[in-house]
Amino acid sequence: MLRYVLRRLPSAVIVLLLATIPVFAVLRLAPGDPAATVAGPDAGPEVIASVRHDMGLDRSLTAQYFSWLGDALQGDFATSFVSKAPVSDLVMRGLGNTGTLTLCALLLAVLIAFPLGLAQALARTGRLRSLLSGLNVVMLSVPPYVTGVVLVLIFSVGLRLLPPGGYVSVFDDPVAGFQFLLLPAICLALPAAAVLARFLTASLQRVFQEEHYFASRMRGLSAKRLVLRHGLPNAVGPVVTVLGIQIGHLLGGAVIVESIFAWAGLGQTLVTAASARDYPLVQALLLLAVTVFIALQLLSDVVYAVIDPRVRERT
Amino acid sequence: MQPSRRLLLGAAAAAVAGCTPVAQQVGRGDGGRRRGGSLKMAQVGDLNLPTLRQQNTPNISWPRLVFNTLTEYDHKTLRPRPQLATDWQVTDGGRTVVLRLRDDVRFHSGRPFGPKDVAENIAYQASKKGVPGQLASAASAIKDAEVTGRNEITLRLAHGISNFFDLCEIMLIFDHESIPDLEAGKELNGTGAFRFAGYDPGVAVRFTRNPRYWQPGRPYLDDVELRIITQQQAIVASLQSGQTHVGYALNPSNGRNVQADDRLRLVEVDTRDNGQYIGCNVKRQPLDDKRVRQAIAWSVDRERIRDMGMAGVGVITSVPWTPTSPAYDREAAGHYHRDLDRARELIADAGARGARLQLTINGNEPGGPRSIAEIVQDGLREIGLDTRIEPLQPAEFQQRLNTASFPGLWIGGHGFGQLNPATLLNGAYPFNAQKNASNFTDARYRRLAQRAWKATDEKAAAAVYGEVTDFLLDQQFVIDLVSSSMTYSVSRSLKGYRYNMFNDLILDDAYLAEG
Repeated sequence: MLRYVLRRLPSAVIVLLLATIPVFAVLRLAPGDPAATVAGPDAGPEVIASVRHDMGLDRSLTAQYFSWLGDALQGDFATSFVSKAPVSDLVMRGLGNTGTLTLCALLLAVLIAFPLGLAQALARTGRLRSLLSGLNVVMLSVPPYVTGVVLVLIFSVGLRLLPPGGYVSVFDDPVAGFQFLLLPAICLALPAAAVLARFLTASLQRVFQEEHYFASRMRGLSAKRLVLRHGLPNAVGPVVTVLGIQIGHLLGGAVIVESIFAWAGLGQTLVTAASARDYPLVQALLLLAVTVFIALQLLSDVVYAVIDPRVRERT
Repeated sequence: MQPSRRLLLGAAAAAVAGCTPVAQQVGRGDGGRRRGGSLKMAQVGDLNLPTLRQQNTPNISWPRLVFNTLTEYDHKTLRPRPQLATDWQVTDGGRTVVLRLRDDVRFHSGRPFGPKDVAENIAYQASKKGVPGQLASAASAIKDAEVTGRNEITLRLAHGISNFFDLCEIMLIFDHESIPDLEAGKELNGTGAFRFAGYDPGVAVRFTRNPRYWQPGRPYLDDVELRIITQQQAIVASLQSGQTHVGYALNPSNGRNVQADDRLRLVEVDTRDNGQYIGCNVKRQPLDDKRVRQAIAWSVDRERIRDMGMAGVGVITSVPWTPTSPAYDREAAGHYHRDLDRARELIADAGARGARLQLTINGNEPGGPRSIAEIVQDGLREIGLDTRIEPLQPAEFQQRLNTASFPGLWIGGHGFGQLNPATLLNGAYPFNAQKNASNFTDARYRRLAQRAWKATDEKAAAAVYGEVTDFLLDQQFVIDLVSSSMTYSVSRSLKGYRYNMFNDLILDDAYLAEG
């Protein structure tokens, strides 16, 4: 097994090294000059040239690339052009915040999905079933930028209970942090909750048709006991599988929701850095994305090889 | 143990109870002014620390919290008033300036402020290192700074300059010993009412009350937090929800939402230093012909631009000077107005009928430059010019501005019309006589700019300002439209705030009233 991993590792490293070229070049190909952005609106050409020199952007592209790559290999990602903060700190902060938002949204999605899915599966009247199904469709189909505005209008402008945007760390100030986290998390959680609820409903309805469930019912168990002891445990398996897929969707959706609510996660950091042409920060964020992708690819190859020994033998 | 429903409901109630709007979190104070409280501000852009020596939009709402300046202009008379300098003597035709300084000022680090700090700050302002300020040339004219007393410094200039006090107004007094930390974004050590308490890039910057501030009993507020909220609508919602007290520089369409809310006030800064203009690249045909540029100036509906494109904020003008500027002339300001026949005549004389022009704008948000561009496009269509609007991302727009490479026309905003005219002619890039975004070079213009800079005598200055105004009206490489204002959207509970001639918010006397 170790030999297999060692055989796969060099290609992963080569791919990562090759990927550093587009990571380095992509923002440089876009129009816009970071020196001009940093220098401000009234800066003349001499000032911009001086700022460019300070930023090290007057060197050849090759020199800049190898200098960046060399530093990156030693774990030094330089400082942001705009804020002057270490890029590694900004990336770690973004990673933590996106993780917090995703985790909170996942928790909310589960908390919403289970009662909704159960209610849909157990609804006795057609009208109630239609109502719950309609609610599910709305949750699933309304995009986050619409949900976000509606939530802000209700909870921020109308009720004045929650902040409409911004970020406070839950570790620095748990109450304020929770307030800032709640709206983006709900906004992100709703579509995921709808998907989970649908799967749960379908899964429960399938279980309700099975013989063991029918037999339990015939034995005179109470409806509550029947559902909680015999229905739900048998139905939850497929939902857990979908939950795994939803984590990926939530991470992707977090990027959009972060922009709507000015939540200082990876997506928001990347958008701001790209528009300011903050090369060191954008490069670090893209490199992180590429590294994670390659690592997951490698991991899935390894898992596949563990499951199927023929794969190990073929390579 | 499974959490009971009662426990969950209790937790939810506690969470909601924690959601008290910040405007209500203020303690009792003395007299009519309430002491304490936490002020929350919001703006779209993150701070830009490398440009702290410049007047630059991301750094307008907060630097005067941490730093003081030597003097501060009276907005109506443009006469300097004491700040860190208590009085001054200008002699020898402006070539010698003696500044006497306060003796009770300390930096936040505890070190006393003195004349050596002024000398070091002037040298730093004049240095070309990093991003120098727009008044670097004024600072460079100071050839010698000699400490002539415990709290006195004598400055000797190469020649008298008319905008010396503009420099005193823009130059934030840094602790010169901590300038390297300032450049690295680690420390902001000034003498202002608030101390720098932390910066989370892209999220917020925090300031706390300076207990040793040289103004007795000030400031009233305990702390100030400036949050970066990248969506303007989110800032408006935050203001409406009471989570934020001050929103800075919202665009006109969001300003209208603020105006419609009784709890908020849209404060138009009276310096009116946000001049909206059409820039012309005079190296591109047909804009190399001044008749075409004049025709464009005659074709524009300035009233519609102010009312529709700028939510009614501003005064219509044809000159870069604001009404308080010594160069302002009401007749000149009204020189260009919508006269399509005259414009068509000029276009016909120049043989430019049917010419195609590109009109570049910064961003593509509705209610911003796009609205102005569409009104301009409409006027140009009526005089036979075919215009295409090209929206660019801010970074690309900035690059084109700095490299003077717009393919035709552009919509921009300029400052400095509110100060001494020499500052605009030598410091604002659209007008800079040495090199500007329009590629306009002219020996007479350069001479006029130099004369305006060196005119320390009021009478001589007035004469040269008149000549400059006539020259600009004739050449129209920058077509001024509206002298608009930066705006602060402010909760009515915030009292006692003011701002200087650069729109920098000053919170020395600010407090949060009840309700």
